[in-house]
Amino acid sequence: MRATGLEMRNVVAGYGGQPILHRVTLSVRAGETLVVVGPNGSGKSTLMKTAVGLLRPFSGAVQLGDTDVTELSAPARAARGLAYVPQEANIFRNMTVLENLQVGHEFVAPLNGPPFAERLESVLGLFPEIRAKLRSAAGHLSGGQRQMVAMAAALMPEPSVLALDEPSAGLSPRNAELLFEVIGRVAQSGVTMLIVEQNTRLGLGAADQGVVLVAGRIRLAAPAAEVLADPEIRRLYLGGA
Amino acid sequence: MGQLLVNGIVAGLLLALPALALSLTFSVLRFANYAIGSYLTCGAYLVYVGNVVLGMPLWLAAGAGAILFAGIAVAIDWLAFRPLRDRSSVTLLVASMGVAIALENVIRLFAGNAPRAYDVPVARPIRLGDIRLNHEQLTILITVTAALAVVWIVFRFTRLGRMMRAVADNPDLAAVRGIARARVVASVWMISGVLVSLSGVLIGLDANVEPQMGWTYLLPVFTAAILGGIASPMAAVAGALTLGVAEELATLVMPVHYRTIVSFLLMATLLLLRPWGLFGKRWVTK
Repeated sequence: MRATGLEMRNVVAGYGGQPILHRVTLSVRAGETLVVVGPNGSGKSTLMKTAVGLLRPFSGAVQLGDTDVTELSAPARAARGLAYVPQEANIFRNMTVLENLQVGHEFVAPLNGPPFAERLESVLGLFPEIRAKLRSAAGHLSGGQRQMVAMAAALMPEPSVLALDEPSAGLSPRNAELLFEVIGRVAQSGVTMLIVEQNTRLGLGAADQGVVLVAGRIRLAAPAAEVLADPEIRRLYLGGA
Repeated sequence: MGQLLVNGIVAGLLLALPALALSLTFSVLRFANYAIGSYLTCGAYLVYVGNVVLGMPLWLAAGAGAILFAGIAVAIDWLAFRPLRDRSSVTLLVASMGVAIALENVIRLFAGNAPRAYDVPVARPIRLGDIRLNHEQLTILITVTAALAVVWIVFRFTRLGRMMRAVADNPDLAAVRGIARARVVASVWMISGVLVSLSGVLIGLDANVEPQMGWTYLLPVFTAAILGGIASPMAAVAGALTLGVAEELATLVMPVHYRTIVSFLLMATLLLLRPWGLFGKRWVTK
């Protein structure tokens, strides 16, 4: 897999003609992890949807590797190696876990890539807990298991860029930590990651770069350790200096 | 009683294919296609042309008609529904009413109002003990069961089936998993075109081919789909069977020509108490 970067330039995006993101520019370098933090309603999910193609920006550009993908649909971006795990509704509830993984693979994976069975084993290696649940209806899983199935399905086609929207939302602290351990392992394998995260400490702890988004504008963009050490960020999001 | 049950099952099977088609398009496109009755009529007339005008055997005319009508259903989608895809489900419902009126009048223009019948030999009913099964009923039983089995296999075990189920389950997630909705929509119209056209032939075989035949079935088809759970295609089949048997058993306590009231009552009660159907899963409109 060749590492690919993801870039957004001067993106203005929103719903019904009302912009939520105002000239947002950010760049995730190939093989790096960038985490976007910010308060509720700051436009984090809008940013994610614009990045993956579920929302067309009013203006600005989105670039995946060397390709300008601004005008490409979400399926076309997925076929170019961009995988996405939404915050909610991130599995097909009426399908089994195995079918979720199959759908994750079959419409995106390159024809000359590794076969399904091989990818399945590799992904189950990252998420051993779901092996026993392969035949279960995905809608009947617990929140933590569901998040793992969603991540596993996104990783099935060996994406070069993985976008995660609030991966720790709704998880117990222990499950959130476990999930971020896996995220760390995926990052180490060379996958470029764009993560939107409400748990600032956990998110920035796993990132190379950090971005603080407030009211649809980028307030701070710096190496994650610097963002985490910024006194104002500590005061606003980490409960004290 | 046994005879009523058999009649009820056959009546239910007649509703099963259009109810399945209706809930299939609903689950992927999130609108109730009011034109389903006219689709059924249109399919029945296309097959009439093949069977009576061109002299094909009925099975061949039915196959050719179903394939032709699948193409017509896709064409109607392109002309009437595709430009309105991002509008509300009510807009699409009204558009489908327009399609229904247009189709029915095109049929009247070419075929007139007189009822017609397929060219099939008259045969004695089959007797199994006290139960009589005529040849039309047997044809309905076999054709519908086979069509349902094929649809079930496609849903469950094929790539196309997974595509359709994924889009019905979660359209945004399906898009980011690489599934192009336009392809799924075209497939759904083709499958529902085939199913509705087949049911048009079976209804024409059971009664007559006439311009009103679709309207007569519109209410029971909607009731069957809602009864099963309009967003759960296979549950619509269970709804159709339940309605068929319920209508037939109702004739034990009320005159035969009042049995349509069973449909009305069931639909009204369900919409008030259990809008996601008896067998379906809860769904939410956005």
